[in-house]
Amino acid sequence: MAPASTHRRTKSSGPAPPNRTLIIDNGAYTLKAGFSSPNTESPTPSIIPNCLARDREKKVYIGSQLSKCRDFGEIVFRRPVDKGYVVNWEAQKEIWEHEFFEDKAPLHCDPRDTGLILTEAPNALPQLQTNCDQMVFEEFGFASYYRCTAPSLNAYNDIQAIFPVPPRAEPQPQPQLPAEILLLIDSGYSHTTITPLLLGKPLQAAVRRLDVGGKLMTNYLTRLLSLRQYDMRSDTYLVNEIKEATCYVSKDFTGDMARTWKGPKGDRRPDYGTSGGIAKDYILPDYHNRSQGYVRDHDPTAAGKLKALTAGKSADAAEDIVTLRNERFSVPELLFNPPDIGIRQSGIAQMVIESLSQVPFGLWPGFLANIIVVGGNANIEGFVSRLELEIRALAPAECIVRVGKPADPIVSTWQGGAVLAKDVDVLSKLSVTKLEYEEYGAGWVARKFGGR
Amino acid sequence: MNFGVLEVANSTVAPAPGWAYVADTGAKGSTTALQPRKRARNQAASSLHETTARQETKILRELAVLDRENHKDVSIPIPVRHRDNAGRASHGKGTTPAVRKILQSQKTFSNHLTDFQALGPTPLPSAPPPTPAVATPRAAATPRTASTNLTSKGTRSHKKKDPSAVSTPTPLRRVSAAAPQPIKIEPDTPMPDAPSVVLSQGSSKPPVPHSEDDSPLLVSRMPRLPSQAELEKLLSAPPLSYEEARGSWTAEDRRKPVRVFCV
Repeated sequence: MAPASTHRRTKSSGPAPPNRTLIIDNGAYTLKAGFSSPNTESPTPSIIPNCLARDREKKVYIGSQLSKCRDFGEIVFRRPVDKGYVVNWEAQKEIWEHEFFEDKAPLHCDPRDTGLILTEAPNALPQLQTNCDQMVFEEFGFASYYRCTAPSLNAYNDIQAIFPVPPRAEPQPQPQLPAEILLLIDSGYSHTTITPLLLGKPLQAAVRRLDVGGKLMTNYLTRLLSLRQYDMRSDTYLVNEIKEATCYVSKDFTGDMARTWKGPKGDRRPDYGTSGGIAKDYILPDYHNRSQGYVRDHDPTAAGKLKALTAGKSADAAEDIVTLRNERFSVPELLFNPPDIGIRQSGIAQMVIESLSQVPFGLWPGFLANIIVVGGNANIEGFVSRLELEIRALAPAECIVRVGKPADPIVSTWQGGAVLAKDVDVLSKLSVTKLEYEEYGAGWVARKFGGR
Repeated sequence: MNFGVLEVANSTVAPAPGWAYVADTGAKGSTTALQPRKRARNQAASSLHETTARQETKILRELAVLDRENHKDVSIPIPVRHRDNAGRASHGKGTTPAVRKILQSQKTFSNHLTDFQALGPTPLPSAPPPTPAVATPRAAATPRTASTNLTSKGTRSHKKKDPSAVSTPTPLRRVSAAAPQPIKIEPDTPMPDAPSVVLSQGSSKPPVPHSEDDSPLLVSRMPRLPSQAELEKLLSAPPLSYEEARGSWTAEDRRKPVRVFCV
């Protein structure tokens, strides 16, 4: 064994790799960040709102400060990430500095002895990628850096453990990583992407994007509620909470639609009240006694706020209620039927088939049997089972279709990155060091990350 | 269609029961327009691609509203106090001009996208046409893959070039790129071998043999795995551009009637 110094020199990557890696899954809604290294037992990320927010008192919150906010009424946001890509580095830098580089930062680190794994959405614009590389090295000065598409990191998770079928006979201590074949669906705030991955490498020609994401769905729910009940256009934060608490993907869209139909005038449907259990009440927060809203089953006999007031109850006891019926399932339905609001794209299941049409037929069975859904929308109730159903209907009958969802689909990408960071050799082959950046320049770095 | 008769837009038409002047905008137009406008459910399920220009702009405007971050335009400046102390102090090793330019840029994503489109398709080195993916004998035999591939290829037809024109820049780019990068080759070399090793072997144990295994009724066929060269080609394909990656609206889905909901 050569002494450490010569060993270091013979390595192509130059200096020794930094002893820990900061992994940032830089999403549009939240960024998932945390450290990992070969010595880290079980790395866990922090989920940080990736925004600057201003409440109605004009107080500005940066990133994780938002958890201190008690009044989300009329709160407005500035997000550095748009459509999945960092567009505004002025704001992004402010958030990163607040979270990572300031003395009191929650995840403080010195970039000079830290490696960075940073995710981006697939099919980024070259100019934005160049900006990103320049910021990482010239402004922050990370020791090494690996920029990759967020879906590809998921291949470093033990994906076979996610599927319930077939049950695993004995726990395999060392799953082979990265996963050899995986079709990853990432449904986040900005959009939904479909990426077939072979050994952690995306098949670029088959990557597809559906322009339906959490933001669009929240805004659509806002529109529905504002038209039918309260004007909530200035309270999208609250609508997002309502969406997360109540929305589900319907197994039988027309049936559910019929159940929630009020019926024509003079011929009201008797079931309309509870709508077969679909109707739910969301009790809005008033930001005095209640800073969090909550859901309960709709009670058609209960009087509204007005009646409670007239009955002599105090104003505090009365609640502001939003009753949700078909809003609960017609909003996530956009993922499956984007033309419902005029988007000229096919639904997510059809898009999976479109993506596969770019792949040799011999790989179809492998991809169809290993579909994983990550991102915040994967948490919508019924999403995974409906997706599996629809893909099965479109796929060749002989193919087994399995759609799985990791235990926490929001941090799954990050966790894949944390696993990758434990393998120093693999990571250093993928990464670019600061020295290399200074020597070969931005164009070379772009080519290296572009796989060209 | 309208035999040289041009309809003059007339906004003051009083809808009289029984009959009305109706713009003949297509086969369906006359039937739908006779019914009262208010009834959304009565409007015949016309598919979207038959919408008029005005409906089109309305839909686009509504989609743009759904894409907004905040209901009203707001600007949240970076807190000043913040910028002064820690921001520059801990990190103030002199920002380069490039970084300053990036930080000051207030371009939105659509600005960047327009810039990119204005520059035209960048000369991508080693841009293989997507066809080889399905050019396997197996895949060619299945009409399903072939046809779907054709449609999606059609959306990108503007990129189609003379194959020789594509191949010429490749070696040039490669040579210039290869010179300053001794490391780049290294991560690339193990990659081609890796897929063949892994993809060819099944991970599960073969089932217990059975006497009827060779029966033609029970035999199962698996499509042939793509060859090594095909896999390499697939993996080395450059990323699609943002617009190219946008999922399409398949012809089949277009034929389905668009669902219309009352508000």
